[in-house]
Amino acid sequence: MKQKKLLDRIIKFLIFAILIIYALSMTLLLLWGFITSLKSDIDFTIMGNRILLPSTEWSKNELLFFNYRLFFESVKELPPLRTFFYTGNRLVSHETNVTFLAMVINTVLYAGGGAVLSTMASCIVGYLVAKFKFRFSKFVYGFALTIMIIPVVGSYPSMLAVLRTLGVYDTYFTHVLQKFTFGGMYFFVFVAFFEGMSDAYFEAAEIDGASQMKIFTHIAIPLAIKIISTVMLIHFVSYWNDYSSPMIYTPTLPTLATGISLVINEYIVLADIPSQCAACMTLAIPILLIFIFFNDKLMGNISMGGIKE
Amino acid sequence: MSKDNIKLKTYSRNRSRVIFYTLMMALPIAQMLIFYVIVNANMFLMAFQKYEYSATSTGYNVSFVFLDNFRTAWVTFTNNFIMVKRSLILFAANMFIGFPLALIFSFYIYKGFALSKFFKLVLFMPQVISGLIFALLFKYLVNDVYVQVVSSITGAEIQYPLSAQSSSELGVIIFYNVWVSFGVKILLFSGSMSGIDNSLVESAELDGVNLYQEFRYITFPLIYPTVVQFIVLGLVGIFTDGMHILALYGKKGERIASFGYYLFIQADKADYVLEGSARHTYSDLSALGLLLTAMTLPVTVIVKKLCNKFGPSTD
Repeated sequence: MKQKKLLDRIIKFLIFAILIIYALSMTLLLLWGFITSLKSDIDFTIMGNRILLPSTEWSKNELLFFNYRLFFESVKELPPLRTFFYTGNRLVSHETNVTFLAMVINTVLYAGGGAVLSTMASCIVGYLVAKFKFRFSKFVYGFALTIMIIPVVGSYPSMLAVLRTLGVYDTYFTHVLQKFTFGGMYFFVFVAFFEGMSDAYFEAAEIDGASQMKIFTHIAIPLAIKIISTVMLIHFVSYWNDYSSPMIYTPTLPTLATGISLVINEYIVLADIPSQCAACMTLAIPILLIFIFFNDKLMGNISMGGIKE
Repeated sequence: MSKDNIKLKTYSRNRSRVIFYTLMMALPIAQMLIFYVIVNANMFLMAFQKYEYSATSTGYNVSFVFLDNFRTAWVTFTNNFIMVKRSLILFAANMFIGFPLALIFSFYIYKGFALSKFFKLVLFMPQVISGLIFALLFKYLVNDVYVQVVSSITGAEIQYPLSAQSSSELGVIIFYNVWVSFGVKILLFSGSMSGIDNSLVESAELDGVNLYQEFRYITFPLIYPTVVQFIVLGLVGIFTDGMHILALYGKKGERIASFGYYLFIQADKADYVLEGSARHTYSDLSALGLLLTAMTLPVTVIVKKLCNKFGPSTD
């Protein structure tokens, strides 16, 4: 018994120690990024102040959030973003002069619109599969399961070709069409949720003469509102941070994340680290605030694989 | 109510259900048809085609070239075997370092030990904040701060930037990959663990099992279906994962590319015909994608079967 307690204590302590080191690395990284974003380039690069708080001597003539203003203005220095491509026999060209406001609007549309579309598609199909026991529902469920485990590699060129053929490449419709999908794990979350919902509610409504649409909108959706809002929040955060999909599918409609990649990695408009950190913090801070206030929703207990009985 | 009336009502109810079902399913199914079935069928078709600019009008002429694109794909694959090696190393690091750590951390959180809620928040943070942000801050920290701190403490001269030295860049990517990988795994593993019947755990504790035995003989077998799903998802992503390299190096990371990164960057530059700085066309990238799918699919299926066959027993 004593040996068991000692072993348990050792195991707990070791895991605790690793987690503390990990937690410190995460929080110090973000803290360091924020502090660096407040430093001048002289302070950071020439005076070599990599770790300590901003030196008042080298920053005294500059506003505290100077680097943030530098980031907002750096977007104006990006060259116009252009694409040329053939759709059938028609040559199409898009050109955009990027502004900070445009990137913010693109981000809100992409993240917000994408979250709504993805969530509603999964919710609708999840409800239909759970509550309508037709053969097609079994097929849809099996199909969704299969596409999760089949490794389709390198479908980018084909996707780009299809989008160009449809005439929606590099437009907002690209994201509308791509995001309205039930493929992914949240479809299974909704199926499990609606299957667990008692049929009594729906039968009672049917007996009272409610239409199927009314049952869905007035009973199923309100009962599922918590899980809908959780999944929508998760999607919103994911799309807010996504920079690779807008980069490849809508190159002239950059979001904030894509814009940061452009000014730092591609065109190197922002060359010094403090201003690059300011750009990073501009993207990180809104999401950190959402995380602080809604972490219960974001990290709700979602189970995918289940448990062996 | 007469039998006929009942039959009519049932028929009317069933008809309204079928109409509602069909109308509501139509759009999502159409989306899946276009963006999964047609895209993948098109990928298959493009792998056997070649596009050339039309001499007589705008647009392209398409011709069937049988296996030419696959020959190009095979040459690309064999000439870039180092990328295969890197993809496998990154997968192995995630599977044999990240995965066990995620299980251990999830167990700690599930048991509700000291600061478990705080650790859950911190472990989930890389899922919340953009990978681009973490990658950039991580790169600056590693290249500037780490080097300065270690040099001033030890007096040693360290070659930097670490993320650009051939001796250290793969290590930097592997470390970064594992470091930010815990988020969703922790959420799903600890979610599965929290569904375990408490009476099982309590009776095991009465029998005197320690934490290791509880994890080995109770927790792990019961969450095994979730574990298998993550192993399969990891295998599925062997040749598609590459976004961490994109975050760390932007589009200039070809010297340290995995196949997932390479395919993304080449798809971004490619077109129906070869032009500009592109090294591939849509057709030969499609052929390369099919080749890699053909390699990964049987491995995924076999590993899933083996995991299900030789997994731990719940008896």
